[in-house]
Amino acid sequence: MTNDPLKQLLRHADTAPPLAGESNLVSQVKRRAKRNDRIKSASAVAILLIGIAIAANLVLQPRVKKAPLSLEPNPAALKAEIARLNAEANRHAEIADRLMQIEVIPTPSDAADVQRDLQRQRDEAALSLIYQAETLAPVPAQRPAAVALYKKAIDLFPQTHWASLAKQRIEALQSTQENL
Amino acid sequence: MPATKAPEAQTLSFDQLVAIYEERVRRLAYRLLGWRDEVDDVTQDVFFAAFRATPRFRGDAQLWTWLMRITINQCRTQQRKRLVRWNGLKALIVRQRHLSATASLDQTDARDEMTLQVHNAVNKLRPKDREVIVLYYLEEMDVKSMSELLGASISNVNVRLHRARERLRGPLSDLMKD
Repeated sequence: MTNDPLKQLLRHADTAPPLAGESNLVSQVKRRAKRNDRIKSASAVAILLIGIAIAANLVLQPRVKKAPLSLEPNPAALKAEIARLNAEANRHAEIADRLMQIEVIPTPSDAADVQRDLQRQRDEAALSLIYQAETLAPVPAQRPAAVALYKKAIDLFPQTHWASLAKQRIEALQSTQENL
Repeated sequence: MPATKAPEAQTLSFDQLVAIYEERVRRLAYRLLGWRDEVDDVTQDVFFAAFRATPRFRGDAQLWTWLMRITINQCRTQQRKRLVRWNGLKALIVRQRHLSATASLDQTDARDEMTLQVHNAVNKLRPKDREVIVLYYLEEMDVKSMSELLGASISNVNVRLHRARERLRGPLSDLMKD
């Protein structure tokens, strides 16, 4: 092994460690041990105190006592419960009556508004049908579909001016068809 | 490596233990750390662990084996710390200082250039590979003793030794030819 070049190289490169400091290693280690002991003692005391505090908190905390459950029927208790439920039901009925009284009843002017609103909705629906028919009418192949939509508008909304417009359009389309 | 237990029997005061073994522990730690200036901290950690383990020691070869085991463990810890500690930068500066000091020396002496190359090659080894190289070549231990010390099988130690040699051959091939 002495002729091993690797060993020779390593032994050659093996330098001595730097000199130790002047401070005494023994005293350093002993001081460190004492310091660690103090830290451990302090930690133990702190943990103990925390434990005591938690335990005291748990012990001193007031506990809610639950009433024991009884399987035996108690007529007096049942009567009291029924009376309580009746009183509660009466209160609800009373509130419902009051709500009914203050509910807003529509006035004649409100009724007219409703009529106008309905008329507006009818116009919008009829317009929608006419609009669809108008988009289909210029295409010869789609004309029957357009006529069907015009007729639908006449059937569903006969009282609107859209119905008379639909009649005019059907007549125009039919005359165009005859001319062709 | 399992936690070490101090050998008992013949008594030896802690002061005597430090007086006898401080230099050997320092040298071993210095080698295991790749000849770096972290040896003071590790030496203190080793003797602190020894002091904690037992107040009584046995003044024979077994005690040295026990101290070697502690030293190896502390060096491993130190190297792990070096990787993650915030003062990893400090370690780098120390290393750089060491390298530049060696570099300035090798301008005047070619032998120190060789030392630098060997140190660099050994430092690039993984800590476990470095351990077997140091124990085998510098502490002159046999494989059986190394396996007992490292808590590894003989074949495992042989594998590590072979692998470490192979890894050193590359960067040191020129020097080995000379």
